[in-house]
Amino acid sequence: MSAKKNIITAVKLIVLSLLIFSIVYPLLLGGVGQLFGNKAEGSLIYQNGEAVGSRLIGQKFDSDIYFISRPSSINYDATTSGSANLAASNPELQQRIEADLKKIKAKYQLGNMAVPVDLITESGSALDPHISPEAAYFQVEYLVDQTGISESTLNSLIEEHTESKLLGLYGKSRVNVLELNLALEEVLD
Amino acid sequence: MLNIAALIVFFVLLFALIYVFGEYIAWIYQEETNSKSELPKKLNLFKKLDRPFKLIEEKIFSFLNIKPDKEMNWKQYLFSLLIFNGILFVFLFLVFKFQNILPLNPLNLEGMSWDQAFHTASTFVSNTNQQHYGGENLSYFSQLFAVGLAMFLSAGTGLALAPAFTRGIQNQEDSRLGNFYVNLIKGLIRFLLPISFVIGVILISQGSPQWFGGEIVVNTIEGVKQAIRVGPVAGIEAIKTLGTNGGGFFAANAAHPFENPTILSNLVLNLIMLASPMAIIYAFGIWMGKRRHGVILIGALFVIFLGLFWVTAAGEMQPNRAVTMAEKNLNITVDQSAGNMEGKETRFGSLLSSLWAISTTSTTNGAVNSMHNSYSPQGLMGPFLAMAMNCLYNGIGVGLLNLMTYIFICVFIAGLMIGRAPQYLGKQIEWREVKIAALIILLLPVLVLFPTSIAVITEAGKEAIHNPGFTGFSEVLYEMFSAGANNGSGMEGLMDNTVFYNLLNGGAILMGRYLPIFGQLLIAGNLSKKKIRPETEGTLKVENLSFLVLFVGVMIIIGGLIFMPALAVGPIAEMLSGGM
Repeated sequence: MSAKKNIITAVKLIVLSLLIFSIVYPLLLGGVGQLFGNKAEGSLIYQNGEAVGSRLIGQKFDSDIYFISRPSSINYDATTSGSANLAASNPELQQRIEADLKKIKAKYQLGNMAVPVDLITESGSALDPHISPEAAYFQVEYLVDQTGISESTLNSLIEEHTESKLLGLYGKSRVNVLELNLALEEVLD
Repeated sequence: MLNIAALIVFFVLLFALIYVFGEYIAWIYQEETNSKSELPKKLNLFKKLDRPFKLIEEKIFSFLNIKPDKEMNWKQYLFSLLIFNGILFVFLFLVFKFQNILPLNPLNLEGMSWDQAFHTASTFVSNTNQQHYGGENLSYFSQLFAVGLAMFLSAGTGLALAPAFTRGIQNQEDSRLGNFYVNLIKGLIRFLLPISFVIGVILISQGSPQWFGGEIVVNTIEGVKQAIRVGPVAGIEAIKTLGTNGGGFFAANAAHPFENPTILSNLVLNLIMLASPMAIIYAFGIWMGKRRHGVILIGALFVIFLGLFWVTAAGEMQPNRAVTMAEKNLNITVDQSAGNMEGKETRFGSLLSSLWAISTTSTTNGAVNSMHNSYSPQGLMGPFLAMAMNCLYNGIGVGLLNLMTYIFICVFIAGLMIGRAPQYLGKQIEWREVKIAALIILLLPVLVLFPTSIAVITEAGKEAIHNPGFTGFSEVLYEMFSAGANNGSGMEGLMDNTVFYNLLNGGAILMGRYLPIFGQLLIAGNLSKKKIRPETEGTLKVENLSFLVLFVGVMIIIGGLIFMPALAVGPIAEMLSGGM
C-alpha cells in the first residue's frame, strides 16, 4: 500500500470505528442495561420518593444517631474519587490516624474493645459504601445510648444487612452503611 | 486455608478461560497464521459464528478498499501500523485539547493543556493508559470518542501483531506476514467487540452505570447535598480490562464502586485481565501445532507470577506500620487482623487487592483496585518486579512478542552452553536476531532509569513528589516503569501533571511501545525468509524441564536484576528502615 492509500484507509477506518465503538456499542449496552432497572443509572436509593443516595457510593454521616463510614479525604464528594495516597512511612498518615483514634476514643466507650481497622483507614476510592460487620458492631453500644433503640434490635439490623463473602471464599463480609442507617431510621420512626 | 481454596478455584477458572479464549483467538487467525492445528471438536460451535462475522468483515473490507489476499512484508506491515496509529494519535490529541468546544460536555469541563493532551494521547494510542488527569475531568465526548475508541483500536493493534509475528516463524522462505488491516479488523470484530459487550452486561448487572445523565444530586438523610458523577462506565470498563488498557473512567480506577461494584465484578475483571494476554500465548502454541509448548510457556510465567503474588500478599496481610505506631503512641488497641486496609476497599480486602495488583502489573493492564502508594514496601516489591520483567503475560498481542524476545536470548544462551547452533521451532536464531532482541531488552532500563535519574536531580522532577523519604523515590521510579513498560498503573501520589512529567513520560511511552514493535517485526521479517530445519536428535529441545528452568532464570536475571540497584534505593531501603 502506498502512503496515500494507507492514510485514506486509516482515516476511513477511524471514522467507521467511531461509529461502531463510540456510538453503537455504548448505546446498545445502555439499552440492554435498562433490563437491570436502575442499576444502569447509578443504583439510587429512594426514601419517600426522593433519591437519598446511591447504594454503591458511600456517604459521610456526622449525626450522632447514625453509623459512621470510613474516613475519606474527599469527604465522600462523588464528583471526584481516590484516596490521599499516603504511604505507611508518611508522618501525615500517622497523624491522621492518631487524630481519628482520639476522636473515636472520646466518642465511643472503648473499654476492652479494639478499634476495627477500617474505621481509621481510608479506602482506595474514598467512596467506600461499606464497613466491616465488626466496625458496625463496634458502634452499637454508643448508638443504644444515642437512639434509645435496644442493643438486640441494632444487632439484628446489622445481621440483616451483612453481606457475606462471595461463595464463602472471596472478598470480605461487609455492611452497607447507608442502607443500615436507613433501616435504623425506620426503627426510629 | 480458605484463602488457598479461593486461589485454587480462581486459577482453575482462569485456565479454563485461557483455554476457551486461546482456542477462539487461534481460530480467528487460523488462515492468517497458516495454522497447523484445527479447532477441537467440542468447540465446533465457534464455526457457526463464521458466516455472520464474515459478512460484516467483507462489508468493512470493501468500504475500506482492502484486498485481504494482498499481504504485506514486515516493512509494509510496520508502515501501515505506524500510519494508522499516527493518525489516531493526532485525533486523540485534538479531542483532549479541545473538549471544551466539543459536544457532550454537560459539566463544561475545560480542554487539556497541550503537554497534558500530548501525554494523554500518547498513553491511549499505545495501550498504556497512564493517567495524569482525574477521570472526572474528561467530558463524555472525550471518554467515548477518544478514550473508548483508543481502547479498542490500541488493543486491536496489539492483537494484530501476534499473527504477523507467528507467520515469521511459520513461513518457509516467504516474506509475507499478512495484511495489517485484515488482522486488526478481525480481532476487533470477532474478539474485542463481542466479548467486551458480554463483560459490559455483566458489569451493569452488578451496578456499573451505563448512563449519559451527567451528575445526579441527591439529598442525603442528613440533609446534605451529594453530587454523584455517573456516565457510560460499564462499556469502557469492559474494553479497558479485556484490551489490557487500564485507564479508569474515574480517578480511583477499579477501586471506584461504579467501575467495580461487587466482589463478583472484581473476580470477572481480574480473570479477564489475565486471560486475554495469556490466551494469546496459548494461541501461539496452537498456531505452531504445539499446544504443549504454549502451555509450558504459560506455566513458566505462572511460576514467577505466583512468586510475586506471594511476596505482595504476605506484605499486605501485615498490619500497616502507621497504624501500629499510632496504637503504641495512644495506647489504644486496633484490630488489624484484616491487614493493611489503607487505600483498600472493604469489599475486596487485602487478598483480592494483592491478586489484582500483581495481575495488573504483570499484564501491562494498569488498572488498580487499591492504591499502591499505601502498600507496605514488601507489598510494593511484587508490582515493581512484575513491571521490571516486562515479559510476564504483558499486553494483548505485544505480550507474545516480548516473550519471544526473551526466548531468543534464552535459546542463544542455551546454544552457547551446549555448543550447538541456536534454533527455535525450526528457525535458526542468528547473531542478527539476538542483537535486536538484546537491544529491545536493554531499551526498558534506558527508558526507566535515565528519566528517573533526570527527575531526581532536577527541581521540576522533585517538586512533584508527594510522600517523603524512600517512598518518594519509589513514586518517581514507579511512574517511569509504568510509562516505559507501557503499564499505566500509578502509585498516584506523584503530582505528575506538569510539563516536565507529561513530556518525559509521554516520550518514554511512545518509545516503549513502538521501538520494540519495530525490532520485533524486523526479527519476524528476518525469520520469515529462513528455511525451516527439521528437528533432529541434536536440536535444542524447548519443551523440557531444563529449558523451562533456564528460561525462568534468564527472565529473572535479565529482567529483574538490572533494576536491583534502583529498587534498593526505593522499596528495599524502606523495608530495611523498618517499614515492613
